[in-house]
Amino acid sequence: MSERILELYIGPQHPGSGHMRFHIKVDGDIIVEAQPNIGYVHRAVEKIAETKKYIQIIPLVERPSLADTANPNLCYILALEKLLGVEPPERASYLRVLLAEMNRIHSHFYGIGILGIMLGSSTAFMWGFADREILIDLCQLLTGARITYSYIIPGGVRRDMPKSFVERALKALRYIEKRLKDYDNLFIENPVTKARLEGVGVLKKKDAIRLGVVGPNLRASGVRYDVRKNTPYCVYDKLDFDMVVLKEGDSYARLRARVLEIKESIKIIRQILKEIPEGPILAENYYKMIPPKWKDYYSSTGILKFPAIFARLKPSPGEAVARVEGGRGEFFFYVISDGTDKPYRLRMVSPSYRNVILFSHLLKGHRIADIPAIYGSLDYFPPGADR
Amino acid sequence: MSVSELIRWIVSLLLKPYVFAPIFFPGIATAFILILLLIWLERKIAAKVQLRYGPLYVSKRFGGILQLVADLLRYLFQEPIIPKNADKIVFILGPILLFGTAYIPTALIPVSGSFVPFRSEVSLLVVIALLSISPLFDLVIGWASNNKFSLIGGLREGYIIVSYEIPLFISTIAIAMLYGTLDLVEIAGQNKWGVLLNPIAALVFLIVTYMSTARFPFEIAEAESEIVMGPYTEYSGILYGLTMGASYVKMYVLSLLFTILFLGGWNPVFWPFTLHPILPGLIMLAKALVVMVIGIFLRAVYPRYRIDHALSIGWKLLLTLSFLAVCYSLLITYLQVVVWV
Amino acid sequence: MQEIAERLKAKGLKVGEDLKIVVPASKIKEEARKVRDVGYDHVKSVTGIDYPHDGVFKIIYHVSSYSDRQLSKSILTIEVEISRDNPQIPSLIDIWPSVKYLEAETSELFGIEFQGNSLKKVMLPEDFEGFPLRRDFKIPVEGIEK
Repeated sequence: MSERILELYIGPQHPGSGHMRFHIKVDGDIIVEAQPNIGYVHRAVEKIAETKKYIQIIPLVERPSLADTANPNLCYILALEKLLGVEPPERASYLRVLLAEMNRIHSHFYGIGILGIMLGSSTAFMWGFADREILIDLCQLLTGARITYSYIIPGGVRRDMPKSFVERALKALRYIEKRLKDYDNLFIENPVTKARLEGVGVLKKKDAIRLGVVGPNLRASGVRYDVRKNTPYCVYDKLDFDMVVLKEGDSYARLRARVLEIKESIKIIRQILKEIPEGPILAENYYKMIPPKWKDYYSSTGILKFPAIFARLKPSPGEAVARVEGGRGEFFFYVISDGTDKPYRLRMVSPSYRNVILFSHLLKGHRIADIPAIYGSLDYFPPGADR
Repeated sequence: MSVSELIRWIVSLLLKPYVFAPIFFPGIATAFILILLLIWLERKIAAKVQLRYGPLYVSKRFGGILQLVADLLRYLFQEPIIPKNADKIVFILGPILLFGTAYIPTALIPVSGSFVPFRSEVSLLVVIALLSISPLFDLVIGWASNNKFSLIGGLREGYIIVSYEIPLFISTIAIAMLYGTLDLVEIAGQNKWGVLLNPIAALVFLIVTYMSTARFPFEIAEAESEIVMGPYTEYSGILYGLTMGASYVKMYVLSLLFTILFLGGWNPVFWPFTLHPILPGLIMLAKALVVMVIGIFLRAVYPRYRIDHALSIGWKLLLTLSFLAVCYSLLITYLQVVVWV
Repeated sequence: MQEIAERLKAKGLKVGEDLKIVVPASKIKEEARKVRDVGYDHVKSVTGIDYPHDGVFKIIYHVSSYSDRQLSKSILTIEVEISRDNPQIPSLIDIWPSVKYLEAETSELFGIEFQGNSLKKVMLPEDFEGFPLRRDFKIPVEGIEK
């Protein structure tokens, strides 16, 4: 241990660190060793889930991973529906995918904005968050809430699509496509951005596979893996879109992968709005348990009130596994039920937690100024990792 | 002496160049008001690009222009917190001297042919020499704060200082060769536009201006997402206000120098004429303002460079360009001599 | 699923149609090596389940594959049972480096020792006492005295 090595704590009180801490050892300007220290926002989701009823867990699991909330909701419900033995109707599946894709777009804008402010471009940050508002307004029109929707319930979804939705959504998508050109001109093709991101934090393909990385970080390193294509769930096998795979594996490739995924999601949403079938939005055996007064309410407004059975859902004893591709990567849920109205064990693995292992691998050998560049390009979300 | 004679004596003393220039114009009072205006303008321009309003709350009818006055009042009343293990005297004196030595060069910059506080035959060289005093205090406060992030920020500033000083010096020599004199009053009196004479030197000088005063993309010493605030991390209250203002004062002085050397000084575009000593100064101020506004507009466009990118720009690009500027000046002087002869 | 089960059986693993392997704790490393040689190259999750009535911990590994197209559609479950009084198990970190943080979380929240995984403290504060996810963990209620 020579005298040259400086030990720095880039800790929770730091503008560029989020809710986590880095212990780094620096020799001059080059990082010799980097350890992340997470767990600052651990909220014990798995322990709380053992004390709540199944329907109460829906708001619980969507809160950790904040910018991308419909996907853990969807993953939990897919696992629960395997235990309950219930299939949602077709229109409900299309509405689930619609919400999931809108969520993916505004989660990627969040990632681009955070990368912008970490590099120093406050313009990319402000634009990213401003363009998120368009999609959050759309989500509010569909579900009634801005960020944490609790929209997907066992057997279907909670609300039907309002009549003005299709037109407003198409207008919003045209606006987003126009804005993506502005992003290209200002931020992505900016020579300073390229100089900061190209060749920085290169993740080779075999390392990505070996370390179990997920999400656009994996696909930017050349691995062809996307849960929506490999094991399609809901209606993804009927929709036509491309998997975004790039081969350089550096931070610039990860940024471009996110922008290309926004374009693919816009394609998916347009197909859904054209092809969505008419029909019910809740499974038949739950719908017939709703009292007639609330059935009339549903026919006039499109808002469902839960049947009383949701308060005491008792799935059959057993276990179920589900996986879903969220904006940041793959969610994994494992539910064990013992026949009572509370789960025996709920295991939730979020994509950010599976990406933590990259910090000590990627930061070695780079400079201090590369820490925010690599951090922002991985789209790591500390509350989602700590759950 | 009666009271009216006393008042007349005081007023005539105040209007003498060596008192008026450093205190009022283009000295500290102008610099001060310009800082308030420039920071407001920076926030407003960045806000317009970023689809938001910017400062609007204070003095709503004028677009929030008094926002900086409100900020300054807040800094004045805030308690400056001094860390226990910091070097107290240096910690307090550092920002004061940083701000104070930044505008010393205005004592030599003329605002008109007859209104200059200190006239010398080598005033250009003296200005360049005085410009190199102020950045040293960044290193000093980086060490005195007793904080690892301040140390790293101070060292970064030290590297950048060394890399831009040499191109600055060589490019001013290049343009001074074309004017044939080192006296700033004579340079401006010749009424030639340096931008057209030697554009390479103008480019180098402009980039050095933005590099030395931490305009984006060169805002490296105080890179907020990497090293909190760089050397200014531990500062609060009026000391923080001084450190923030110091880089704007430096930019003001360098812009005035740029105007004299490259943009024709105090002469308007069409014909050279001089009236009362202050009016040409206003024209010079307007030209300097254009240079400054371009600098602060860059905040909305570029992210920030890494330290090794900025150093390679300084040593590889700017040094070769400044040598090229010298060769270009030599070529032009030689050709003119040949033409005349 | 049938073909994948056939592939695994060819390597000597006892697996059924539901792709689940039950392994004793002493043999976990060799079985894991056989699974890796089939083509499963990363671990998706490590779950610990507490059965206080039976006095055991069950540890469940879910593994899958990125590089093999057929295997990437499936998730293989490896189930291990260890005793509750002396919870120790060899770590799989040198077979699958992706388990590093997953095992550390399980170890810290249950009190299980994964021999060979050097990462110990992930989620909880340094001065925390007890193992929160065990079923007999009493959640401290700040002194509400009647």
